[in-house]
Amino acid sequence: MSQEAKKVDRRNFLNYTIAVVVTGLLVGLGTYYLTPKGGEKTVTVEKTVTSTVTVSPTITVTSPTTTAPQKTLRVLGFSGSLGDPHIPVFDEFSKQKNVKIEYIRIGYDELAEKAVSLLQAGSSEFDIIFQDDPFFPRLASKGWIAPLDTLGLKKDSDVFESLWDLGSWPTPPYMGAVPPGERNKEPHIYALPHCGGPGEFYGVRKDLLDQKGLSVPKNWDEALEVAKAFYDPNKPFYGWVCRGTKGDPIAFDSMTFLYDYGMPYMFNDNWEPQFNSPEAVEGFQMFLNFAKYAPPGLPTYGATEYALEFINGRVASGMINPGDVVADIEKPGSASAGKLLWMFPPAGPKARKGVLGVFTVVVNNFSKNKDLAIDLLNYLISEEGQMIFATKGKGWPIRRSLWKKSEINQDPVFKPLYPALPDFLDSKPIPYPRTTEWLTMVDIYGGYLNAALIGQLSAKEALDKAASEITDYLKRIGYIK
Amino acid sequence: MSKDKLLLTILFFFLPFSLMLGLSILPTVYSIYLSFFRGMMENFVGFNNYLYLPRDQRFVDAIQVTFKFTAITVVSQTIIGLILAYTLFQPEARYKSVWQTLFILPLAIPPVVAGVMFKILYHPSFGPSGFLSLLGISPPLWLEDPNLALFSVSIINIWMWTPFTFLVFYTGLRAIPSEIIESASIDGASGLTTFTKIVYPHLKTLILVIIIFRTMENILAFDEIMGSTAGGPGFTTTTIAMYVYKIAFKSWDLGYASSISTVLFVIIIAFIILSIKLAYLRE
Repeated sequence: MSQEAKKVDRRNFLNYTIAVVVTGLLVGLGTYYLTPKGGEKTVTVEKTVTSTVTVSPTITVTSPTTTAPQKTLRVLGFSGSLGDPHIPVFDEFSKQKNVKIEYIRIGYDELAEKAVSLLQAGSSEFDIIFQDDPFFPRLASKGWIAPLDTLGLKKDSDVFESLWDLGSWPTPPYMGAVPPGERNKEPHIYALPHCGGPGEFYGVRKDLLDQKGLSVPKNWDEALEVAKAFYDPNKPFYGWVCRGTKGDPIAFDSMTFLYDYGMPYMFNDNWEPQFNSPEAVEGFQMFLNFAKYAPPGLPTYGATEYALEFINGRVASGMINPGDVVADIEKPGSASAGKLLWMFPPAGPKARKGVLGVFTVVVNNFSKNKDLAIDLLNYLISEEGQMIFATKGKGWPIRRSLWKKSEINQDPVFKPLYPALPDFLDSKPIPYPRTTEWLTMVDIYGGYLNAALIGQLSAKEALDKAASEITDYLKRIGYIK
Repeated sequence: MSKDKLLLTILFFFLPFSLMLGLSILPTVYSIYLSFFRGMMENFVGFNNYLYLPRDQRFVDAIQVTFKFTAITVVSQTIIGLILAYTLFQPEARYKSVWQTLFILPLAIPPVVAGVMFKILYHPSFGPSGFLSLLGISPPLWLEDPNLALFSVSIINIWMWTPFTFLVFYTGLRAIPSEIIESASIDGASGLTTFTKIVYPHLKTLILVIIIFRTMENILAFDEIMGSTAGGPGFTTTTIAMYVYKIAFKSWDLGYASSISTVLFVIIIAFIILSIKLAYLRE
């Protein structure tokens, strides 16, 4: 090889090395950002579609150690902290029942898509599938998921009633309108809501309130004064944070305001929108008033950004689903750990409503192991199963009695949520509208709310436009004649 | 030719055709067939999906956003790629291999990662522009301002794909016989004259190919937008590909999504035919 050729090779080697290192750094930066908790590369901790990344599934296999297992249950679940608490429960069930459990975990968006693809094809590949609560009415209406109560799921009265109601289809009247064609069906429990969520909570830095001599706000006007009192963009320190991203995040995080200002339901029984009523507009305007005291990037904020603001100690109060962020905010090293008061949202002039949203599990109607799947769910909600779920898995328990035990209510993860969480679930909170079409509607609705948040539209214009478009859509699909 | 040999020959020639049929034409035909249904082939609705399209404000907005996005990105990628290639092609240019490596670096980043990476870079609190607030200057709201958002996501696409146009143009430039450029230089031709009279005619076909390819690709842009804005703020960055994805895989209305895809398919085909015709007309 000539001297010149060697020189060129060295140069190329150096270039390629630089290229690989810089590429690695850039990819690393991106993937680091996408790994908010644990070691899994996923951003699917939030209830929404803010960003989607395809990652390899996490597979956990639990088998009894003594004898060869007789049966295998396949579970398709959420990756990240949403699916972690189930591992010790599955492990224990596996030992007790001599069953092998294959727990395949993927991201939120992929899971929603894969579930529909599999069930629509009548696949029995998975026996148990995790789903967000707005998704399962569609699966139930198609007959793709099994009615759990008729298969032997024990409706235990110690489990919060609102969770049983949320998992029913059709849902009870207090949860709002039921789609035409589904109203006259016999109600059954199709889903078991038990992780993530459970709904919108107000969080405020109690230490900062004490420093300024302010009391815990009882209504939204007082909460707005708190946000205003701490807002100092030059520090920077902000008074308020929530999720502002278009679609589900802003729709869910603003919904409490609409109810508290007098909106009875988002739709009446004829599926005519009520969310552009004067009361609802007033409520949404109040939400926009809070946004004035939020960080400048709020319209693109998801759960990750929300958590970061509290972790970095840059915000005094906010509104969010604690299941998405509490583990991160309350962990050692967070500037807000142990300082936040998580509470039932303050009252509005007309009401003090809770907005419910919980992740669920369903049983595949095409499964060949339905009985075993029901056994597992019965174990999951049993006192023993819930104790393992809470103490080892660090998932909040769905049994009221467990919240009274000091092992739970003094646990650093659950202590900030006690007694707010059981009180919230006992208050008959209202979920998203119960329909098979919510994902289409929330895209339109949440898009217009976001347009109002960025100042493109007024609160009234945004809600009117959303109502008009959603009405068109509902006419097209036959909800409105 | 024996009967067996004839059969084999027919099979041999039929194979590529059947592959093309299986992989390309059949899915397209099936998609058109799906577009006459609602949901997951639940009800036959005839042309209703197509008739609803002009009344669907989300579709109309998405078409406008897609055209704006495509126009900004294709024009920028073509011009910047050409400028970079022509600059590096100059005999005076130094460290060519270093620049070449740096220019093509963005091609190694997956689009969705690029989207998230830029989301951080653009972030008014966590990104580099957050430093401006330390100086008392309000950082621009790249992804939150409705007037800036489309421009900001266009920058991500331009950053990702200009390396491709650069590579194509640079390869094209290196194919121009050096004697022609040297002669022009000896004859006293300026840089601009050399470009317009020698370089441009040589690269004309490549420019057309780049415009067609980049247009086809950018009309379907998805990953980087999903990773950075998810179509927001409002609907200002919701492109037609994102809208189709949401209709197909969130609302599970495969019929309506197929009708949008069919319209998109017709638009792309029409654009390609028009571009080629225009190019030949000039010839």
